[in-house]
Amino acid sequence: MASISYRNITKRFGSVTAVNNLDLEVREGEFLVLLGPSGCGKTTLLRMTAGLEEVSAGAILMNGRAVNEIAPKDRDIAMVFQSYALYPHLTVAENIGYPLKIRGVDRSAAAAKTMAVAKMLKIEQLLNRLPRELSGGQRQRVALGRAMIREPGAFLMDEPLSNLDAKLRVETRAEIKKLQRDLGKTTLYVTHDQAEAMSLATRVAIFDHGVLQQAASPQEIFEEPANQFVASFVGTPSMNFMAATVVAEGIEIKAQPKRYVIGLKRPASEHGRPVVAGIRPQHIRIGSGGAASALPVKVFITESLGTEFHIFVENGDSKIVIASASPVDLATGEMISIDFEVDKIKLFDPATGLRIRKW
Amino acid sequence: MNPKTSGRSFIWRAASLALLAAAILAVCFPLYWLLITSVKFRADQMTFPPVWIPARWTLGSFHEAFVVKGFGAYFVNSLVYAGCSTFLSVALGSLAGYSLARFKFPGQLEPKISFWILSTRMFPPVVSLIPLYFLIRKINLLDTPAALIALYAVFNLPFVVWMTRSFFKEIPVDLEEAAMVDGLTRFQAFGRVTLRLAAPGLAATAILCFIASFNEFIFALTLTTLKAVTLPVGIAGFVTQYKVMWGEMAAAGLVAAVPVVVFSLLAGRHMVKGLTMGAVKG
Repeated sequence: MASISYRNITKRFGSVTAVNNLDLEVREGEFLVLLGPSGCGKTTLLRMTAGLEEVSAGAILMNGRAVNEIAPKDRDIAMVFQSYALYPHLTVAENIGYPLKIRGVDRSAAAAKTMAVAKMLKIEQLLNRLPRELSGGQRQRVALGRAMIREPGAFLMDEPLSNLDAKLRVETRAEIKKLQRDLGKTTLYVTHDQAEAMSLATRVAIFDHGVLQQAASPQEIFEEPANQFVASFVGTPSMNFMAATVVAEGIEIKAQPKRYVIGLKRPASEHGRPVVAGIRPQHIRIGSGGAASALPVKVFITESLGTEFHIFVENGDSKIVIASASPVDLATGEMISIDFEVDKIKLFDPATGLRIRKW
Repeated sequence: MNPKTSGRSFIWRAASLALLAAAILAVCFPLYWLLITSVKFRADQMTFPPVWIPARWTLGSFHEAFVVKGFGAYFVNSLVYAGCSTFLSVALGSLAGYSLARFKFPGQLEPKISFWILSTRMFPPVVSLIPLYFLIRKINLLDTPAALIALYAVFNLPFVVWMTRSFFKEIPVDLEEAAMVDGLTRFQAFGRVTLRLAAPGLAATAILCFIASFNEFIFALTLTTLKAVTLPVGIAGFVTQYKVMWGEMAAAGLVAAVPVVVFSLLAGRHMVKGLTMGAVKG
């Protein structure tokens, strides 16, 4: 097992900075998911960890040893590629056993190991097939098997589920999670799918434009986002953001037809400060319209996902999404009133996007 | 079925079969003619109407060409030159092709280098014949195997670079990276994974190089005199001031065709696969 430390890691491709001055510790046995939109530097970071990409500045440490100059083969890591990268001319058994063959492991020992891994992944009946004769899910397992057989210090996985259909993805996701918990190996997993990240990770590291935004447990990422980017990237539908100003009673949201104030405890010194108020769609209630705390809005459209119902509403220029667990019967153009679970509101600084935590 | 369309499809079928037959005839007739001429007696060679199936036959022409005139040595020369130059150009060219396919070149230089390599094939090779003659005379390599092997290797190099570059581009880089993570060095990954997967393409490329070198005439004619003579040059020697030795020429020509035919039959399947390899994304 391995711990991995990133010290001031920077990676530049010409004038583009893919990873910017990253400091991050990956603990032994941890399942760390690198999450972010495409082009945020997460895959580059994984490839640098594997040794497939050089580091422009900074150091990568594995078990305290700098590995910047160490070849991929000597890093004690195994990688699962997005494309699976199975050797097309080798059978499933040969693919899984290839790392052992390279290391000159005795043939019968390697065969026994291959069988054990195949059984663990339930692909023992496929051992004599070629990769082109396998389905996507089966290829995925072979790729996992090839990574597992070496018992490496750490697993690196680059969007391993992105080529599977939705149903298989959810199943395989659960299996990978179980496998990782059973094997207890340090795992770095790259994805742009927040549901995957939240369900797999013991810790999630969120990136944007090559900069680490937050590294924390899935729950903490969801409940205590460090900034507006994290808040908007995690959660479906996305968090609602509204421009607001600090006033005597709390914060005032620009609204029609009259000012709308949310009562919050706040220091008097902040009076007049502009803020961004964020509230998750799940934390908005649809009211009858009579309550004083209610905000009148017009229904724009509704959608049903079977288990959850989304209502898109507008007030003046601001658009708000509401997620309701129970079905709603609302027509486009209908006027309703909503109110917020005040303790769930997060405030952000409009200039920096950082969370304002001190209230 | 509609009789009109069935009539039309019958005509199409007949026409395409006729075209195919004509193509087969055009390809096979020279070979057939070569074969019967090589075994005819001299008196039967030029009669009109021609003797299609010789009633009497002889191996005299083969004897004359290979025993009396020493064509065996020319044959060996040709095989050796073609073999060595093919090995050199494929070995060097595939490394260059790999570099061009895989590595990042500063300042978008890769297409420019590739085009420059290709551009060396754009003038007729014969243009360089006279300068090369003087050059080779200067370094005392006239009438030596080294001169022809080096020249053939160099002439085929751009072709090999371009072919292999496209083959290597087709092979996903992930496979090499997976092999490197699995425990190989970059060079081992190239040899054991990439080269292995590019083998059909390389085989096709090698065959084409071999054929080009084996059949080359004008450089061999100019740069050799006695010792290093190749088969095509030797065959041309049957056209003398006083007569054309058709029988010997046919015998030598027939034998000259053998290595290429054998090579192509052995690697035919690979060749088709190799030649279409860069064609479509799989």
